[in-house]
Amino acid sequence: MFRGGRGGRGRGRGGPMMNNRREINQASVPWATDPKDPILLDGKPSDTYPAWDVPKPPTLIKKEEKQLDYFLIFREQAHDSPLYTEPPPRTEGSRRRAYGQDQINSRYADESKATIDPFTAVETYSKRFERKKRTLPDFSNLPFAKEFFPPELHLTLDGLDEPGADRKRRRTGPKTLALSNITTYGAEDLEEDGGQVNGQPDFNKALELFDNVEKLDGEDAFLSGEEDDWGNEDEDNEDAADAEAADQYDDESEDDYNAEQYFDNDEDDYGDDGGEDGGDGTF
Amino acid sequence: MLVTAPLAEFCTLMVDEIYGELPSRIYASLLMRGRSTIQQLAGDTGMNPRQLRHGLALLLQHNLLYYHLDTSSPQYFYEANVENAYNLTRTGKILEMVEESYGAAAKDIMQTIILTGQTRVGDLVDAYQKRIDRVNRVKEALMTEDPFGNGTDSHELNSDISPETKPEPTSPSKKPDLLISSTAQLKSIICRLVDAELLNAVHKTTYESPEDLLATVESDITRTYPGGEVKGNKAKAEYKDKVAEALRNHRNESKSLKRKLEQNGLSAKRRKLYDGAASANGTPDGEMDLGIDLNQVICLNYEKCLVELRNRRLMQFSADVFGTTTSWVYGSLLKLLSKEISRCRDDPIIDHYEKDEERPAPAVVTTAQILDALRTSLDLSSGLGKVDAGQISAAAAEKITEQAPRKKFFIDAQAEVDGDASSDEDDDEEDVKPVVDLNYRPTAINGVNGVNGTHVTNGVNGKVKIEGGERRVDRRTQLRQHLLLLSESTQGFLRHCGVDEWTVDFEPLMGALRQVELDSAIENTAGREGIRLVRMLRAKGKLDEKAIMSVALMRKADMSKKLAEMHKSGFVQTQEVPREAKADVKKSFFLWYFDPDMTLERVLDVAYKTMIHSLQVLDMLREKDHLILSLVKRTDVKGQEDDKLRKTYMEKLSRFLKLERTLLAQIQRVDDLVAVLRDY
Repeated sequence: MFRGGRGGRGRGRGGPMMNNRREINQASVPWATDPKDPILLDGKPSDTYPAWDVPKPPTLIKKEEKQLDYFLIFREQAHDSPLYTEPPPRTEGSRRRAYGQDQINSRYADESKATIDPFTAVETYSKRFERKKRTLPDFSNLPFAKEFFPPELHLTLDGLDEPGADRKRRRTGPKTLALSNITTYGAEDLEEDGGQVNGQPDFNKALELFDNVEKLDGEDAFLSGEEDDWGNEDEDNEDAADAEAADQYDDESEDDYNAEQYFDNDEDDYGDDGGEDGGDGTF
Repeated sequence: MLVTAPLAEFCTLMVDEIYGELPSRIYASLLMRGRSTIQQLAGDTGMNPRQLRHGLALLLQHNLLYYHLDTSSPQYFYEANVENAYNLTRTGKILEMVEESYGAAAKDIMQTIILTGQTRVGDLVDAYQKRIDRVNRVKEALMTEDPFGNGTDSHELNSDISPETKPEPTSPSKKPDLLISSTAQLKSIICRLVDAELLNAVHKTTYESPEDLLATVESDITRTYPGGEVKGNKAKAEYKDKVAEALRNHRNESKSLKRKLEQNGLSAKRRKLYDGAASANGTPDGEMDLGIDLNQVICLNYEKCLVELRNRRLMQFSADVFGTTTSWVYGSLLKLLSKEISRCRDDPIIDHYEKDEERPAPAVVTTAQILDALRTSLDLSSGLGKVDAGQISAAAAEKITEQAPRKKFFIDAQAEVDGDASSDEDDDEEDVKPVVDLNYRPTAINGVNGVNGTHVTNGVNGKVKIEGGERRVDRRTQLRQHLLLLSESTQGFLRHCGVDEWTVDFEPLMGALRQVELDSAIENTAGREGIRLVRMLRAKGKLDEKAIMSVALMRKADMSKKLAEMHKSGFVQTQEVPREAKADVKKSFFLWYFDPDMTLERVLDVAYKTMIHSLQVLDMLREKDHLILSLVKRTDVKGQEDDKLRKTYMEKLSRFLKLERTLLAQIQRVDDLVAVLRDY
């Protein structure tokens, strides 16, 4: 903050002091001044922490509250969708002002094995409750109107745009659009309106809780821990889940003692597999 | 929409907020570099093509991109769709609006559609069917297990579901626990939303950017001219018309679904529906299944949503000016009127008509229609003052203005003549009116001097002696009074464009609203003195400081300070006019003036920056509490934060949630301002 009065500049040229305020000199300003009604400058140094009148917005009316609720729930549902890609945790570097595209890009590229937080990266029991972070949207389970997409994206929409796509199992069952069951956001909502949303009993919330319970119940929960609310509505898809589980066991048996893979979350396409991908493009 | 740097940044942050980091990085690059191919994007963002393909597909699915295949190159070019990205901010408002006018079930569907971006009707139906099945299964399981809801293993569940299932354990499927209880209902709601134009059909030019489409259409039409050149004034005018028409055809393609439904008899059913239930609030019980094509791909139509949001804003505006009763009348009038309005602002190219006769006539509503649409519970007698009959000029109050107010041109002799002619016609018509409207004669008279209360009305109608009818006539009179009040306003809420016909000239009205918003923005920053000076400058044009002083009756020091302050925030501008040929700063005049357009740009700029700032602060707060937030996301904690979190964590969490609400509410508020200034 600039404090320190006017320095030496105005001192010699200013007019007489009046009540700690100085009249400005006609010669120092481009406009004409009125001698009867002089413009006075304050010679005092400014306060270190001047009182600041922070304007407070008026409280929200009911309609706005509702709009805000809907927006928050919409956002929460969007975050819950398989297409959401969660940003990696911010670091000091990502805050710094960036000059040029290279520096902007370098902000994002720093999630690799070298930058893992050693305090939280160790596998613990509670990890299985954590939401798995996605670095790429998962298109494989959703239906799309492909005729409106450029052909170069079709493979991606099928969920086959992966380096090892041929090796991986292909989904054969019909793809279904999944509906999100999230109807609340934040802990406060839960307290406030219990089972009621907008005054009517809400079954969706029950469904949401039911989903959670299902996930925690029994063996299944462990295997489908990585599935989220979206794909899970489909109960007939158990073969797929089995296949996935089998995959998981396969992977484990192959790399049981591979220390390198121990920290690996199975899916770090983000940072460091740019190299192996580069040559693989379809264009 | 002019894409300035702050707007671009805000859109990027919004995409980041809702769809995540990967798409937002691509989006930022597209905004900064303009249209790009995947290779170019790879070079700019340093991402690998696989990431880019995923991100682009995601953005495209949510209608945030345009793409274009150039005939000369095999590459697809992607371009950012800024309107839709900005409109993400308004999701909450749109959902609330849909819920209010079309019911909670429609809102649920709308939310799903916004969430998925573009979607096939069939997929939507499947998904809902699955959910319905699932709920039924859950319910059956509960029923067989324990009808009284104190089961052993699913304890938690029962406590939540029992409120719905307990009251009627005998009829499990009759009572719709879900908002959407059958696919027929789903389809009928989709039909209604399509009919309201809130949903559009996706067609092959949906993802062409307006510029590309214009270029394609122009080149196609130029080719039809000899030599591929348009020569001469007449040909040029014709060419412009042809381009506009072709573009209109493209635009109307998104309404193809609506047309198809209309062919299937939507309008007849709709009429039935409106006759049956005056308000469109109730959920129809699935009778409107019109065989909607399951392969049809639909997406949200933001343009129409904005029209509906504008109606609400205007209703609020009229409530501010006249009071709530009049605003309800105005609201239902706008609702009727906006059935034929597809967008808030006409496009200068697409809505270009060479001859004025070709221009589609503005939508018109009659008094009877409004009366039918009004809620019967609304008491029209309130909200009107009472004036002596002699104090009202009947001719002035009932004056019919056929022509929309024109913009002032420098030479507009023709318009002058037209205006005179039309006012003559008006007079004629007014004479004729009682003859034409024989039935309504008493009403018309009452409409004029009925402002003085019901005594006169009763006196005139007393002869008619229809007990039931009297009330109705009375209501109509009151309605007319409200309408006349609206049309008399200086803001131009309403135009009495024919006998018992009303229309709204949105352009001047929105201009008035914009001015009100700007004034309040100026007042909030520069205080009452500031707004006083601005109003003076607006009325007088460019003024010298001395002249302002004499008009404003302010001390020079105060005034210069205020003006300088407002100049700094961009509300007033100065112009230097030298006294002599040789410009000398000290001798020249400085004229102050108010430029509404520049002020508007400035206010918008500040608004975008405020919204950016809110999102950045939110991001910072999130980072500060990221440990708690990641804890809350865990599946074993989610939904039971109270039990699982420590008290200190709980406090921190609730503080964060409160701050988040404050920040997002701020964005919503600022967006209200942006909407008025830019979009409506």
